[in-house]
Amino acid sequence: MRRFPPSFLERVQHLSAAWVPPGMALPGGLPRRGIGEGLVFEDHREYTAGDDPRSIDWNATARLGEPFVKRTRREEGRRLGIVVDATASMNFGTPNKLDAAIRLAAAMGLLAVRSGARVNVVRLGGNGPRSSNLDRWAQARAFLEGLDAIEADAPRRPVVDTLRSAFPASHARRAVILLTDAYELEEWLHGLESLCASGHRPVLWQVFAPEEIHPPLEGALQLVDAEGGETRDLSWNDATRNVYQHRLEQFLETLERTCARHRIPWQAHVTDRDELLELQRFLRRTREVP
Amino acid sequence: MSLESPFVLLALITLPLVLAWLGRRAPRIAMNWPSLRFLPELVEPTRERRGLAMPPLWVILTAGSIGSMVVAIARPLLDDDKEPAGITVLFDVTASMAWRDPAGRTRWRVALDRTLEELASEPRGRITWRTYPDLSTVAVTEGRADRTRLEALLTPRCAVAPAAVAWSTLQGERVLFVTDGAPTSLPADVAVRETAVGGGTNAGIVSAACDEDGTCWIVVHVAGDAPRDVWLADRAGTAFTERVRIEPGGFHTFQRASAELRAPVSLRTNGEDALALDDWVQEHASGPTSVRLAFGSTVLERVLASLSGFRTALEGEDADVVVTRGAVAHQYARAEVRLEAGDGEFAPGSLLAQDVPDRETFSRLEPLPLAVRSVHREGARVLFSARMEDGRVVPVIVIEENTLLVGISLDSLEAHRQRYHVPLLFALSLAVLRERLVQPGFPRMPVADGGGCQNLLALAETDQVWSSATSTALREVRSENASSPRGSERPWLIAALILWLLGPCLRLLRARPRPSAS
Repeated sequence: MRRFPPSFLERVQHLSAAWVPPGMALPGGLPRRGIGEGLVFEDHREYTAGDDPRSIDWNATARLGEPFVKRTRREEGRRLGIVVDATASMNFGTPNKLDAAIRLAAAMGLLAVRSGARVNVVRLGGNGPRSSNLDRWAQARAFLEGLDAIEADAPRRPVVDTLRSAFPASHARRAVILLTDAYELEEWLHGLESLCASGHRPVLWQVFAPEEIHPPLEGALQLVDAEGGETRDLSWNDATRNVYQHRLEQFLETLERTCARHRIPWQAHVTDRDELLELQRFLRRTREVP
Repeated sequence: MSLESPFVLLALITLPLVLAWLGRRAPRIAMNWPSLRFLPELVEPTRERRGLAMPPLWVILTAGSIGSMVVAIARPLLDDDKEPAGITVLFDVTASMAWRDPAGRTRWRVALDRTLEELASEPRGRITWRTYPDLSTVAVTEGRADRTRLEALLTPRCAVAPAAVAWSTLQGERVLFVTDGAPTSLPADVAVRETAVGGGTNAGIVSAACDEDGTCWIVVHVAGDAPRDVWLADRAGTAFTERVRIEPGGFHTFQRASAELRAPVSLRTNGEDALALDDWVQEHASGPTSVRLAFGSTVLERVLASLSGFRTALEGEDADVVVTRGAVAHQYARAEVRLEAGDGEFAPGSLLAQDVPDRETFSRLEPLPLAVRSVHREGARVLFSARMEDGRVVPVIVIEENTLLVGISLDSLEAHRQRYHVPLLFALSLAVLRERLVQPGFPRMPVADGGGCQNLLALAETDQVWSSATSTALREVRSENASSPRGSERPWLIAALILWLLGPCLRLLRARPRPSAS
């Protein structure tokens, strides 16, 4: 698997052990509230003071002679959706934006499974498996192989259509993590609002290549739009660079402002940083700030 | 606008073009980019994709240096509105152009023929005809010139080359200078292209005189760089003197009986000359001589004072006539041969005055204030007279003794700025064709009416009184400013200059980022 180093799974496990104890927030800020409040049987444990008497399993208590309570989980609250933008604009940069997004999706999915959630990864645009599910840790390798097969490509469906199709309002509410560069700003904002309207809790992880933050350009250039194929001639100089930086900042401010208005967590990730470390910092921050 | 050195300019323009071509920047580098949404306003037109990589300072320096070089070397001239296009023919109309060759053709007609031949090979355009030495424009023709009209306009006049010619009036003109001798006043920076030059030797009669005994002396001079055989002949070419070989710079006096000279004198020579005699005279005029005035004249003294090297002296204190109009005598050269002193007639002609009209006849003549009234040898002095408005004829000027008159310059006092050149040679014809008057005190005075040089020239046209094998030299004079084709003939040169200078400026303006983009 070209996108995943051999130690990837091991690092995820280590991260899971350190940062995903019971009660910790899932990636995306979704609190783990399911155990004890759901309908799905999990296991038994001895009754302790303070337990809800309604949770006592009287049959087990009669068989074992001591009071035992049933542990259940809330099934609908333990689903995580991940959307990976595999459009052509993501196939850029060193390290590659799509590679970084897929590694992030894999890590998030594995961490979610370790915390008891079921994960569904949806590809937006590009080629390869349209959807990859992960219910148990044992499926981790197959899950990573499915993600590794995703390739970027230009043609794609509109963002809103893809999101509505993958996460309809009839489904149980879940956290949906969007890994994208969100250059089609209006479409993505519309998609975020659509997810919110459906009762889901979107999280935006915006992926940038370092070249997009500080373009290493100089002189006379002909830039080709990765998705539309449109060509633009320009001379890259200080004035061009200043305008670029200014517009990029405006773009990010717009996204941040919109996400704050809808209470959507927003995280910017630059691909020259280690994905797992970035994820670790995110988990630390979300735990410290419930 | 015209350019002095268009080819230098072309080289100047070509050089930076080559440098700019070599300095072109590489084509734009094509590369994929995730999104162009941040750069829409900074897009440049595709047609400038392969523009020149010239920093603004480089453009300014280049344009400035090119402009400086153009001004310094190519020298754009901005006087097109004043200067006519085409060529200017500067035609010598001094008196020497009226002289004849052995075939009987006057020099100026030969010159005009050759000029028209040369102009026929010129591209069609406007031809401005100017006369030398006054440089005045007498005609402007397009295409084929009317020869008859030009003959009327370019007839030689009683003019000599002045010491200074206003060459500056020819600035920017392409000049074809038609003359029989190199003018001494040509500025040093004027390039002369000789289209035809004869030999370097000239021979001519410089003086003639006869006494009452019927003996005539004809002084011949040879100038130049080669000896010449000369002899005198009549109109038919019959020689009545022996052949004499004269070394350059030498003189010879033919002494003949006046009866032999009743026919017009013709000087024959065995070669060609290139230097007109009057030019030689002009160049070798002797130093100052004194002019003795018969009567006091403030105006005349003033005129004489304007001529360098002249001293004036009153002939007599008892003059009771105030000359208000008169003539100025100008001694050209001091000849080595002197006429013998004694009474007699210095008759400028091949015929002696024999039928002398009386005073009454003389007084009936039309007033001719500029005419030579008398040439009288009296104590080796030559007297001139002027006829006053009341009919009286009065002596005016006496030429100093011990000089041999070889030329007379007459001036109208009203227009004394232009000296009329009257070689004495032409005066010889007066005795042939005109009546001679003898006034008491001024015996045997030949008289010419019509006055002045013009009449003498007219006589020269009709009578072969001079002969020297003279070729006409056509000289094309191009001043430095006129040495190049006119700018109007090379509009592409000017267009190239303007485009070259405007191009970098426009590029500089386009390269500046738009304010709205930032």
